[in-house]
Amino acid sequence: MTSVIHDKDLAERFAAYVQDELDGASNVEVTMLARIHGGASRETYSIDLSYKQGDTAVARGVILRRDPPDSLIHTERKVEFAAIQSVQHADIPVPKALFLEESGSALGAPFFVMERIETGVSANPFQLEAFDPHRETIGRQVFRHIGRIAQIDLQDAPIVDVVDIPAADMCWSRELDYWEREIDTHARQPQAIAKAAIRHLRRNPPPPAQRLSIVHGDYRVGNFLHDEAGRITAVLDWEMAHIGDPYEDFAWACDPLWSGGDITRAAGLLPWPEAIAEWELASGCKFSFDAYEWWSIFASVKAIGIWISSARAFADARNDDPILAWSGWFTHAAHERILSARLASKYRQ
Amino acid sequence: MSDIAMILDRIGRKLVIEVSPHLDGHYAGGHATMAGLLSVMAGEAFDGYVDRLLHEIADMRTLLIDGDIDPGDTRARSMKISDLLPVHSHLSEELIKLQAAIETRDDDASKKLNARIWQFFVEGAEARMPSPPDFADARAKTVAAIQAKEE
Repeated sequence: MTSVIHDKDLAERFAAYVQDELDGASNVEVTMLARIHGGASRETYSIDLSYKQGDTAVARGVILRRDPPDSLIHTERKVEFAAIQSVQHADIPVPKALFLEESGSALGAPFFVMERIETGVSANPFQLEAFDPHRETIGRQVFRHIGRIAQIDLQDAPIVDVVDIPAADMCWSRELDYWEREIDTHARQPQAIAKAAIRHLRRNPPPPAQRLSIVHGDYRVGNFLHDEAGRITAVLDWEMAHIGDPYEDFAWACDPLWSGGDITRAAGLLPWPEAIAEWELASGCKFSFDAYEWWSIFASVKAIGIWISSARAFADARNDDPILAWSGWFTHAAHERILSARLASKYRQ
Repeated sequence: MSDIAMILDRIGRKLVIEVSPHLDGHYAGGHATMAGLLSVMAGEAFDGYVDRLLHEIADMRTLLIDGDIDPGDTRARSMKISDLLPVHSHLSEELIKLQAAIETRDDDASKKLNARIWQFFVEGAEARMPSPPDFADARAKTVAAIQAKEE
C-alpha cells in the first residue's frame, strides 16, 4: 500500500476521533488514507493508523465506512455494525467491528470503522474462473458460511436490538413489500417485468421460514475476499443484514447474474447436491425446492429494486458515481432478462 | 464528424485501456474505467435505440388492442427519444394493467394473451441487454507497458 492521503482534512479529523475513542492511545496519526472504489453503499476508505499504546508503537490498518450523500441502498450503519458483531464468534471470517458513530459531528456524516483484513482479494462476479483451481473449495465455504449465518442463535445477537423481527410466515411478504415499494418509489419508467414477477410471487407464496435467522442480505461472489489459494478470508458488505428466512441468502448467492452464467452449479461454484448438503449441515435447515424457487425469483426482483434505486440516485444527481449508472443500466437489463426468461417459461401455452 | 456511436465507442476504449491504468490504485481509476465501459455501451445502444422504442410501441399497441384495450392516440410528436419515451411509458402502464387483469382469468384466450405478453417481455429484455464490453487483454498490455516504463 502506498503512503498516500487522498483527503487530508478527513485524515486529520479521523486521527482526532481515534485519539478520543481508543483507550490509552496517544500520538494518533493517519499515515495513509485511500478511498476504495466500488463501495457504492458507503464511502469506503482504507486507512493506516500509527499511535502509541503506552510505550508501544502500534501500526494498524482499518476500514472507514462513511455514509455518502446517496447510495445503492439505504441502510443504517448501526445495522451493519451490529450484524458484524453478531457473527464475529460464529466461525465466519469477518473484520472486527471497532467504532460506530451515528452523528455527523466527527467526520461530517455517520460512519463506522472496522479492522482491515490484510489478506485477500475480491472477485469479479463475471469472472469466476479467477477462483480456479479452487472454485469448488470456495463454493463449499460460501454455502457453509451461509448455513452458519442461519444457525446463529438470535438471543445473543446484537442485531436483534436494531432491526424488526418478522413472524416466520411473514418473512417473504415483508421483503416483497419492501422491495416493491423501492421499485415503485424510484422507478423512472414503468417496470412491467418486475411488476409481473411481483404479482407471480404474491400468487405463489413460499412455505413459512423453517427458522428465523440472521440474513446477510448480499452474500455473493464479489462481496467476500479470498486468498487466491482457496480460502475465504472475509465476508464483507453486511449493510443489508436483517432477520428473515435463511433461503433468502441461499437463493441470493445463486442468482444467475453472479454465477458466471453457469447455472448448472450453485452460485456457479459447486455442484448443486454438494452446495445443498453443505448448507443443510451448517444451517440445520432442510432444503425445500418450493422455498428455493420462490426466494430465487425474489432475488432477481430485489436486485431490480437495488438497480432502480441506484439509477434514480444517479439521475437525480444525488450521487454521480458512474457505478450507479452501470448498475441502473447493465445489471438492471441483465435481471430483466433473467426474470422474463424464467417466468415466461411458466406461462407458455 | 457525426458518427456518434463510433465516437462514444472510441472514447470509452481510450478511457478503459489507456487512461485508467495510469490511475491504478487511485479512486479515480475506478471512475475512469466505469465511465469508459458506459461510453462503449452508450455507443452500442445509440444506433438502435429509436428503432427498439418504435418496435416496442407497435408491439404494445397490438397486445392492448388484442386485449380489448384502446391504446389511444399514441403518435409521438417526433422521432426524438424524448418524445417517444412518454408514449412508451403510457403503453407500458396500460400493459401492466391489462396483464394484471388477465392473470385473474382462467380462459384460454387470456392465458394465450398472457403468454404473448411474456414473450414480448423476453424479446424486449434481450434487445435491451448491452453487450458486456471486455477489454481485459488490451488493458493488461497497457498496464504491463506502464510498469515496464516505470521500472
